[in-house]
Amino acid sequence: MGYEPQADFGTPAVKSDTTVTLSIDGRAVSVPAGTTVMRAAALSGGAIPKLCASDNLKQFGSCRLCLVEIDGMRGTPASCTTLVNEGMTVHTETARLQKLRRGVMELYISDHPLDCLTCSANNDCELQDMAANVGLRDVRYGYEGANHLGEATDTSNPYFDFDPSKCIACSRCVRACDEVQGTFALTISGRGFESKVSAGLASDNFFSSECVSCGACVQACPTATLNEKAIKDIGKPERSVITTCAYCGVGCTFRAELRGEQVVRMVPWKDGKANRGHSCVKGRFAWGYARHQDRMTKPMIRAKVTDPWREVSWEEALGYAAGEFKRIAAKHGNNALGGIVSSRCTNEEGFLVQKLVRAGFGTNNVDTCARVCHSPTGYGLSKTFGTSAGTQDFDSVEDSDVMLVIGANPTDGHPVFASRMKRRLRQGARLIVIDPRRTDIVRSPHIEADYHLPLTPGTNVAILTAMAHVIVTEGLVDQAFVAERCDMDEFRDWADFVSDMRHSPEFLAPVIGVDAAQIRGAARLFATGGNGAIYYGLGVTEHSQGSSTVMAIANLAMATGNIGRRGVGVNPLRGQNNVQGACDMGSFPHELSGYRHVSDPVARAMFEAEWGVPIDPEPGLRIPNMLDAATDGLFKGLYIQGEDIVQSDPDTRHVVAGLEAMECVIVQDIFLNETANYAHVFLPGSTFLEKSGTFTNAERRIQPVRKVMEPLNGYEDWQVTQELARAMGLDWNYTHASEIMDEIARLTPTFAGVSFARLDQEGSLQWPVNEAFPDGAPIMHVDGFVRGKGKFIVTEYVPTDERTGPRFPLLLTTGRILSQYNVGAQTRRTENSAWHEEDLLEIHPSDAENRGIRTGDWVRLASRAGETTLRATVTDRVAPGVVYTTFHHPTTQANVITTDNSDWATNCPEYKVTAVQITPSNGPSQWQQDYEAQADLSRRIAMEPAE
Amino acid sequence: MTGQVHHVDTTAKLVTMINQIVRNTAREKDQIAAIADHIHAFWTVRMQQQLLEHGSTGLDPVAVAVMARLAPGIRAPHDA
Ligand code: SF4
Ligand code: SF4
Ligand code: SF4
Ligand code: FES
Repeated sequence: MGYEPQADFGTPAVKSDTTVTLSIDGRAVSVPAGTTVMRAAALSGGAIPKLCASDNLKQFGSCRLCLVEIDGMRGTPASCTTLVNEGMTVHTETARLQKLRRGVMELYISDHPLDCLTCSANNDCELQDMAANVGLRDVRYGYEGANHLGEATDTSNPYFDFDPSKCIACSRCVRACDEVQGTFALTISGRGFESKVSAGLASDNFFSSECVSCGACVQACPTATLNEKAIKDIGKPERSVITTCAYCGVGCTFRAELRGEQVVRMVPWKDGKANRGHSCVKGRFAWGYARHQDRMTKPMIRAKVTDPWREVSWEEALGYAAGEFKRIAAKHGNNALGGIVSSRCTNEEGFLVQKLVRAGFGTNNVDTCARVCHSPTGYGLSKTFGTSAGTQDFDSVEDSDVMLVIGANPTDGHPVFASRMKRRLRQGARLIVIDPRRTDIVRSPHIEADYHLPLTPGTNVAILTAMAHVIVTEGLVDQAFVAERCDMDEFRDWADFVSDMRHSPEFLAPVIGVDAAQIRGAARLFATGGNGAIYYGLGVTEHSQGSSTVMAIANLAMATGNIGRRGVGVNPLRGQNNVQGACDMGSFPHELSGYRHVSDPVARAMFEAEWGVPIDPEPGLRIPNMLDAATDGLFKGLYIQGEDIVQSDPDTRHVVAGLEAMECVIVQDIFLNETANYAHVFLPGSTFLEKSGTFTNAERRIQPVRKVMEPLNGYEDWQVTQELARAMGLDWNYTHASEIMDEIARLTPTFAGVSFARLDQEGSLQWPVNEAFPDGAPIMHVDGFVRGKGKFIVTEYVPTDERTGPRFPLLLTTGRILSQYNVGAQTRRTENSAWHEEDLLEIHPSDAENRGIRTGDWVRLASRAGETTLRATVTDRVAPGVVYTTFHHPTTQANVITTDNSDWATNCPEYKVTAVQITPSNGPSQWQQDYEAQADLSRRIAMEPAE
Repeated sequence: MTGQVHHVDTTAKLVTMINQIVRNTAREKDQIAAIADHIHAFWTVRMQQQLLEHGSTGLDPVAVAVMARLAPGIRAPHDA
């Protein structure tokens, strides 16, 4: 496909049941009532010249280029601010209009550098297009008058420049930052000729301002004023491919715009249903890791992890790995083997890894990193509603009246969806935030949460039960909904339970650490404020009562009738891009794809018929149990695709001990990650830019990932898995990822109607896609719950075993920040590190003062599991008694601190609560130094083949 | 770090796990059956066996009852 900019209809689409018909330049045009003349003209193929309008921004009417004549109307109204009327007759190209438009353009051009031929935006500039469009040939005012041509370019942002000399003061950037992103970082000051765009205060540049580098302003700018640096460095793109971001569970779709094989820029795709044309700094800009010098492209093996790596051919590496696994199986049995599926890889890749484990290794020992994030979501929602997934699409938020955000930090973790939430909040929706930390959404420009309940980490179930107590005892239950949709006996049991005085906010307030009146107020608001939607993240799941909290959330949604229509629902915000997909694909040891238990003979029979091998009816080992079994000498060989368990899993020392006890660890990744330090076989992987497949986002939306460049290692990841399978003697012959999806569709009832062809046609599909839902299901449980009647489950608050005491008096909780992603393997290898060079420990001023700690000091962070050091930042974002850090950098070793406590139902680790002590320190701990030394040793690659 | 022994008592972990399940399912109508189902659905045969071999030390009384209920069904895993 050649390069075409994305279509822009000038003003946003409107929804209306009434259609209006008018005439534009003699063409009859029918559009929804409320549409602008500009949009109607563009939709009918006759775009009107424009500069200040863009269809993702509210109409503004400042440039006066879009003038039209309308029969019966005086003057020349701006088409971007004039709404259509039935029978209207519009003329867009009269001699009078052309003259007026030329006059407007002349003014703009007289203050614009005329270096078009050397400008990076040449041929991709709306100003240039418009000048040509209106037939401007000469400028009467001359170019010598006052102008802005001498102003310096702001190059402070790592990804884009701001060259004010080219600015036409259309304010599209300012409005994009306000309306689309919701950050309000830009201002336009002065009037007329003096108008000037600036980021933050006069002393600020883009980097030091509030700007979060989402790129919305760059996309909105019609000139080269705000322009990607890559355009200057590489040149203008020549073609584009639509694909899906590989970072978070929002699943933004992008146009990868390329010049030859090189990505020039990633531009959010306006037709993308998850992101609606918006992006965050990660997906938009942080893809440079794909070509980072640390990328591994050759397979390597070694007999012992203390040996240096030896680069070998694919054949040798795969032969060695297969030989080792066969040897282990023969000696120790099939159950001594296992595999780990990554939530970052595609559905097809995940499906193949679990197939290799179940059909090739002959065991159900397969698990996914979703174990450590959202396994409680699967458990809790399937128990209560009957499906392991969120109930809504993202668009649903447009109809929410009250949002309850618990244990999620959307502005950092799910930024594009956060922008949509913020837009709705600015329109007047109410907000309740339950989080130990004052996250950005609590207070941001034009948004103030009605309630921020900074609970003590580990008391989620207590606070949700207290809220339920208020709802039930104050008669706020949606009786009609409950009677019609839920099991009444279970509801009564639950209502009795929560009504007990020991669950009142007053009784529980000391445990929760939040004022009872605040809890009551929040509960009343949620129950009575209209459409109530609950959004939650890892602050809910990563607790010893993660599953109970998910069930408590489901109870609350059912009791208030907030399920089964737009604007409501229970919405897990998934951390990684394909957490939903990894879970759907049968990556858990007890489940085949589509959440069917391995003990289910009907499901097993389907797989056995397709694969021609028996499937073990007993569940396999979960990741923590694999590691335990390894230290017990029972588990010997592990195939890990795209995961870094040494860095991401809790209790690093135990993870390391488990890996060290294994005889063959195969790591497949794009970098030599921390886990590879304990591996015997390294198989280089490919990035999302180098493969075909699908990801499934947090709204169950299956979206295509399209190959935009050849894999550096020569193979897509599913091909590597296939080669490993073949080396083990399996006759696999997929020639394209689409064939794997066809197999998934054959074996998985909720995916029955999914195929690559269908996805190409629709753009995306939200499962279930089958006979009952041929076009997918944006909203679930509309006419009834998937399990039949909604099930209320009593959730007793059980305090975690992790208690503070004299030795460890503070509670550590963990999270992430906007510019970095998970263990940071990708984002640390991009310019995003400019925003986050290291992980910092947030500590409240009173706790800091007691310990003589100031911002910037090195501190020792110790728990009963281990200790590490990092630098402190003193802030009242965290409550007294609570400290917080991120886990994006391997040297921080935050998981040396986290314990082996886990969720009672799923063993999802309790990352969010660890009792710790903080003391001043003067540098990295012995463990960190030893670790660094060990890592360096382990990463050696022999220059010459040994032997 | 290589060479350092990080001792993990797997059986102790299983004891913790089952006791935790007991505490979190206290309100189930037939708690013993509910826990037995849970363990059956999520634990490997080997884990169940290991806990059975360990006996009742440290186990919540409900957990002891669960293990008694599971015992007859726990067979040796096919190839471990
Ligand atoms: S990059 Fe985003 S946050 Fe920064 S100024 Fe532009 S729109 Fe605002
Ligand atoms: S920077 Fe670009 S978008 Fe912003 S006012 Fe100037 S020309 Fe318009
Ligand atoms: S919000 Fe998530 S999916 Fe969207 S661009 Fe950012 S990281 Fe990618
Ligand atoms: S596009 Fe209508 S006034 Fe600028």
